[in-house]
Amino acid sequence: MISVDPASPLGPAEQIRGQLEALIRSGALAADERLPTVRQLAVDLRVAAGTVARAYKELEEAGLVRAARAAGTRVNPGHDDGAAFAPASDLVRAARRRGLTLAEAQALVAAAWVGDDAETRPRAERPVHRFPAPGPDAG
Amino acid sequence: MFSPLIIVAGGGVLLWLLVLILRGLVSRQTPRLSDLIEPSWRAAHGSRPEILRHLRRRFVGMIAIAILACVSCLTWQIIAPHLGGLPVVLIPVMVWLAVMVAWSAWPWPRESGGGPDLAAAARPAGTPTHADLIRRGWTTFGPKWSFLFPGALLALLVFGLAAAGLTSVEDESGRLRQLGYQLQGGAELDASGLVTEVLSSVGASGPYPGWYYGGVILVVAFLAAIASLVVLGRNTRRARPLDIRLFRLDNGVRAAVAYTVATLSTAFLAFQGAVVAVMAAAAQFSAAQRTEFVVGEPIDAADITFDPQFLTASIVMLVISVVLTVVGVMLLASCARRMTQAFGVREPA
Repeated sequence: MISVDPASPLGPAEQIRGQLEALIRSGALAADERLPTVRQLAVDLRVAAGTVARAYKELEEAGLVRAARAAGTRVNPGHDDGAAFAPASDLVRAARRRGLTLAEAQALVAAAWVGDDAETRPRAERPVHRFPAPGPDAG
Repeated sequence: MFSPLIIVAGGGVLLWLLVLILRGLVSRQTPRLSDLIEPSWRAAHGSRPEILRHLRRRFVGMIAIAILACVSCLTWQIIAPHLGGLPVVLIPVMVWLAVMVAWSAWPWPRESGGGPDLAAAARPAGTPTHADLIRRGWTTFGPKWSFLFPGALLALLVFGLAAAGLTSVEDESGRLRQLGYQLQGGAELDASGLVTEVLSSVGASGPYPGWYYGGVILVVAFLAAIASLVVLGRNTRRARPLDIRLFRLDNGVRAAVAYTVATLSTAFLAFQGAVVAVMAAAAQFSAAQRTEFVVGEPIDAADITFDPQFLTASIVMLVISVVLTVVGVMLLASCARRMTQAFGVREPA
């Protein structure tokens, strides 16, 4: 299941791409699984077909999916990092139990991310992270 | 030679087996659609969303359109008796076509601020939208036999009508609607009334489902099949509801529509096949009856005999007609029962 939140600072195409990428990397979308057609996803999410097509194209360029006219768009094998994403589900459950919103949970992750950088890397090597401003809870 | 009792008993057993097989295929229970609504949605909006009211209106409307199509064909027959019964012969495929065209043309309700529906175009600004990642196709919601049964019956109809068309001959108006055959058309007699020579001639019996009927039946049947595919296509392409809590109900509605289309298509094809088969059986039975003149015997001694080939073909066609009628009635009854369950008028047994 994916969603598009008009209040999100990210554009619809970026939201779709990001959620699909997360589902592929978490193993929720298995290798060779067929994705819905561009038209179906666009109709359900009430976005333009070009928006979904752009998200699919970016996923294809990242090597996460492959597109063929007859077979549709399928998930490429070898991107299932389920072990790395399992704690994310735990975090979501814990955040929901404590009544946190999505924005608050995202802020928590951002803070932990920066803290982890500070502990594990020398100052000169630290990249600069720019997180989008948290929007209202999507959900 | 089998006695008629054995043939009737054997036919009865075969029909019983067919009924058992069909019941196994089509008689699964259907959940009440209102039970598929998430409790939190029901608590806020009630148990009758607009989509269910719309679907009920749609089913009642389809029954009315089916009756109207049937009455129209009968009226057409009354005002055009010179058509040789063509309007009556066409009733099953005409009803199928009318129902499917009306279904595909009838718009689904649009979403509004007053309450979420299933078919959506407009939505309140700022509302998040959701989509599942199940790829919806022609066969996602219907029963497994959605295309097998109607496809097989359509192929059988095409084959049967082509065979009948190739064996048909013209009537006095030049229409290919009679079965032609060779027969002993008469006898020459001597002065004492004894048969001296048997005369051969060509006979014709009808109405027979030749190209005059078959061509029109096939055109209407293919149009109805295309209309059914349009209905199934729109059933899969329609947007998901805005409210994620109605997704299960949406699946139930789509399954009900796909089941209805598959069942009605199969039933009407079966009824059309039965009409064609009974026409062929009547014409073949008429062609099977012969007067057997014997040279040297008085003409009064001629016996009425039956041509074994035409008689066998006639019996086979009659059996096919009965089987197809039973199939059609069972499918209609199953459709009515499942829709009654779906709308919650009666609890599933």
